Amino acid sequence: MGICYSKSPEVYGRDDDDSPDIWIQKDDCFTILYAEEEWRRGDVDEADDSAEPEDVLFSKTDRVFSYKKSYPFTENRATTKTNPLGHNLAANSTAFKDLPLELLCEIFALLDVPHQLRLQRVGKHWNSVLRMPVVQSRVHIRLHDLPLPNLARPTSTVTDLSCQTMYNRLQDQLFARSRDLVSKYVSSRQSPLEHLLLETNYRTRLLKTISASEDLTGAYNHRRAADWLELLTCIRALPEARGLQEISFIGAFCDTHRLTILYTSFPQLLRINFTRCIAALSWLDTGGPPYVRAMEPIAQHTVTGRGHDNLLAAFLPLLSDRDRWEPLTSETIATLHNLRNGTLDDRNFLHNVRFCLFHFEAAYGNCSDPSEIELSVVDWSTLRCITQEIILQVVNGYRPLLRKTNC
Amino acid sequence: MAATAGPSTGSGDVKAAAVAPKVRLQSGDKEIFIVDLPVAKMSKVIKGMIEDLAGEEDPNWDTLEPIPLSNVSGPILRKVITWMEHHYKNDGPEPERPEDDLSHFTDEISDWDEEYIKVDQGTLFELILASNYLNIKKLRTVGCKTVANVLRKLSVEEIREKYNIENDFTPEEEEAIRKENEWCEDQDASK
Repeated sequence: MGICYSKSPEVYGRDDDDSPDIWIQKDDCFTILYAEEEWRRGDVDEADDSAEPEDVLFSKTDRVFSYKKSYPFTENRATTKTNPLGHNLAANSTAFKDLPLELLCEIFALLDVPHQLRLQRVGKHWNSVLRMPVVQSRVHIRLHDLPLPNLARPTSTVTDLSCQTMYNRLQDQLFARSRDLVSKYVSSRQSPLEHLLLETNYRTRLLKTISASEDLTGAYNHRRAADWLELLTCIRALPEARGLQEISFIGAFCDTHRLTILYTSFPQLLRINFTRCIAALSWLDTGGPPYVRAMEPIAQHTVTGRGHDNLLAAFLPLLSDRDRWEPLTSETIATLHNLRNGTLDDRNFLHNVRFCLFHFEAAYGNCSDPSEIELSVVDWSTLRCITQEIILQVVNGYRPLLRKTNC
Repeated sequence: MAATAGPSTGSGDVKAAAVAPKVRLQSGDKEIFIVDLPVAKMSKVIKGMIEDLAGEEDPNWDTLEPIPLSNVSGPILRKVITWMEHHYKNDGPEPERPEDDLSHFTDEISDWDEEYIKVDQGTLFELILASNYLNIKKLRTVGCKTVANVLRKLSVEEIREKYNIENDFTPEEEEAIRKENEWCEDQDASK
């Protein structure tokens, strides 16, 4: 048995250390003696035997703790030295056991479904915790990290057009696979799904999967809105997801169509969180993919409450964050709501839509300052009002009107 | 035990340059830390205690008793204060969010936090416990993410070994779980 009466320089080399410890080392087992004063610093009731870690042999008489496992001497190790009886001096063997259930659940809830399922085999306790509703009712899906097959990248020997075609096919395959996996993940839940977290970093995914060049990933960005629609349509078809109360988008591209589908598909939905998202206004044009304009970044935004009015709330940052938009006043909102309620002349509305689209193009395509836009017919405030009106029409389901007319 | 000055806030710190009142925090092992009031208030528990202790609009902070944080050891509290000071300078106070808000969920950890959380396993768990006790949600999340990221990389056997968890399944039970999750196994073949 090797006896070390001095503090380990690696552990207790700090100037502020004054703990009178005695370390006894035998093979990989440390025995640590604490003076009475040090003992009393501990945070565990001496009479509470249940608080002792299972791996610690404890004697009240001589205050000896024997740790079955060795632990590495590191500088950071010193941070636990004054909590000898608290929880974690040797910690490697007791750390998870010390965590209250809520923290264990929080850690497990951060894991993707495949990892959660794998961890069920670790032991009976983990298996039971991982099956608890608080864990099961949340699904976190990293769409960019789904286990998708590696696909061959388009080669440089093909023409640009065929390269793009191949690329689109690859995307279709990847998305089909993603959709199937997401369905399986949600279906695997043993409790009704309450919170769905969808995280995307498609660019990472694409670069990792097919080494696509930047311009190709850029092309894919335009397809994301349609893919999302399909994905959400797929999720809403699952009975496990009918009670969905909250959905979080992380790093996602969120357009008005997706939100419309959300609110119509999941009547129990109470909250939508956006984290590092791109918000976009979108509308359908003659049955094609959603036409997307007016994209704005959203760092962090949460919309609470039910119903279509939240669609407007979801896009208030879009309307108010930039100089080119003035915040919507309650009076404006009320006016626009009145417009929405049926007093609109369809022909004039469509005329205004086209007018607005034209100027949207000018505003977002070429001009950084709205005042640079030449307005021959109306002034900027009129244009803004019309645009806001269109936003409301779009988010409140005026799409049939837009779709049926191709004038 | 002698009072310990909190970690330096740096001369260029505009927020600290203002004459912010300071509070004293006392760890479970009686170590005293002097911390700027707004920094300390990043912990909702400390914030509540300060409000309870103050009891008036403009108390004399110098005469207030140290705030006892009996469940946190000195070294861990020092580390927590370092985290709070950094994030107060860089992020500002944590915005109010519902308790069950999970919008922060992502596996990303900032570079600073990643470096900060490079500690041994015991310290990591103590930090998680301390942040939970002190109700500092962002720090707790950083700790939980770090543990989750470790779990992602380890096989079942490696997890048992690393955390000294006994496999209390019978072979039949383990096989039953494996079979139950078979559909997902091919996605996790490396583990």
